[in-house]
Amino acid sequence: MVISRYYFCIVAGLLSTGCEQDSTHACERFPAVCAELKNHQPITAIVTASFTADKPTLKSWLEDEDIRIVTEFEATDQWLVELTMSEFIALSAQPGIENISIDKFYPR
Amino acid sequence: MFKIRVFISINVCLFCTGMVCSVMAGQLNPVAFEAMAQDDEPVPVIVLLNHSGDNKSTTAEKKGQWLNLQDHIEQVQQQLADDMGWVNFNDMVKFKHVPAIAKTVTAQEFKQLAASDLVQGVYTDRLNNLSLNTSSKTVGLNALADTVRLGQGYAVAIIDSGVQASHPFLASRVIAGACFSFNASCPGGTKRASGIEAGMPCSGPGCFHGTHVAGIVAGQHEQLSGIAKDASLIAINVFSTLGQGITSRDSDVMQALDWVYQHADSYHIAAVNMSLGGGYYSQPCDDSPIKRYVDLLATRGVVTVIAAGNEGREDGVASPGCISTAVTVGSIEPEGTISAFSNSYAQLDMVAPGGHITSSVLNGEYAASSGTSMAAPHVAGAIALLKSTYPKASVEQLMAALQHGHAFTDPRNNVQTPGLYLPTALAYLQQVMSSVPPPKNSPVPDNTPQTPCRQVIDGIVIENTDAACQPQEGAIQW
Repeated sequence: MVISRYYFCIVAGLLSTGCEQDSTHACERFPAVCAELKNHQPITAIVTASFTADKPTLKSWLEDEDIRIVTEFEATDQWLVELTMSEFIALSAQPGIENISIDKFYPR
Repeated sequence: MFKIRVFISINVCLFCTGMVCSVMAGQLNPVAFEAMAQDDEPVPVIVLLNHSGDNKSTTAEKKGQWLNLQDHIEQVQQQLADDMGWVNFNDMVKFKHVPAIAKTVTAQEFKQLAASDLVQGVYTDRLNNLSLNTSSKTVGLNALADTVRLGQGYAVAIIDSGVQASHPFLASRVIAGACFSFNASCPGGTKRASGIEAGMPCSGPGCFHGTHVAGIVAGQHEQLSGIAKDASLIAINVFSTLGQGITSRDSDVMQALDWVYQHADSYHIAAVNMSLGGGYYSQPCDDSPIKRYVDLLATRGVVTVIAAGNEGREDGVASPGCISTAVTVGSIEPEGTISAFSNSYAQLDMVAPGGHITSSVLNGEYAASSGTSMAAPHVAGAIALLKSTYPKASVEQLMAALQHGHAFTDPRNNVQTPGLYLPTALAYLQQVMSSVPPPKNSPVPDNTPQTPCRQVIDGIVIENTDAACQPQEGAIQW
């Protein structure tokens, strides 16, 4: 009983640390998006693929993950997408992602 | 003498809530008032009111409670009117969004105002010349040879709050339009629309802005004109109504730029003007998602011109003006000094007239406004003019030509920035293109107004299947 409790704690701890590390990496790379997601989610963000990225694969990945593509900018290899924190973390780890930006407001 | 009294000299532009009041320079003291009030005649003034509004407005703005702020302004205005015994005077103007009243006052009333706790200052309600005339001289428009074309055959896309195409100053200049709105503020409650109707002004405070900007580019009147009066205009509204105000998003701007990219060849678009932005960047912001479109448009021969912003920064500009490959424009005053409100930093590309510029506004009227929003379209118009005169000039050559004006030194940071001056820009192009400008009767691109690609009439969608309406490479998908 005691062993299984320890086992649960160790597994939970490892998972939590892993998640923390993923989040840290994503948040270090795209701090503005991370800060926004800590305020509220989902958010709309602009994803920019690098010029050498495999765009069809990246788009398929977005679709497979059920990440909502609001607008696709084919000419510039960019997508306006709707993201939660977990989707953001997963997306930031994908190869070929050059940038993830907040869809900024220009208020008057 | 063609003069307009401009009541609203407090600047309103798409940049800002923290605008600099252009009227500040004219604050009156008793001696100055007496000098103006000859024979005890009343003097037109603008009374700027004290209000505890700075912090309150920020909070209200953050919460989207503009109605409360306007109520507050109205209360302060009413309190002063009550104190002064002003009731329903026809010559009294209460400004809706700033705590100010315009009115003609007697010497006795001036003394009362000066003594009132409600009053922050009393300013001259100046008679302004049509400053587009003045700025035209500043940029050397009146010194050009007859062989120079004034934008004929080329278009400038105005990505802004929409353009009133029916304004007499812009008659027949607007040849196409579109609208992009994240919250479905486009005509018919849609998120995107195309056609001249779609490019009409948004509804809300500040929606005159795009019409003002368009007039600076290509307005035409017998007594004044824009920089490239023969150029065409493309009106793209990216501002959405939100609460009591209007706002735009990066993705709206990107969709507008995508539209320009797709139609650059069919409409012979020489430049895009974006008098919008926000934030503060002390270094170029080349990670902005908008930059890819700026660079892509350059490959189609389109120069992107962006206003620097009006926060009076001496070490940074707003986004997207911070994109290094765009032409970022600061403002100079009619007397040739850098405007106090104009953002600046070492990477600022150029300055152009932006102080007290009179141009078209809504309902067929004219008004003066100040801001880098007004400076940028001087440059966008200049690009259309240069391109129409030297059609083979590349984006790089056009941008280099713009840098050949007299440099203005900003006393705040000692940065020297070239000012827009058309004769030197043309001289540079003449030299690098190694040819004289083509004669006026040589063929120019056909830029006659075209049927919109898609329009909705009485709920029926009409698609134009002309080749010009077919998406080119890199079509956008929604």
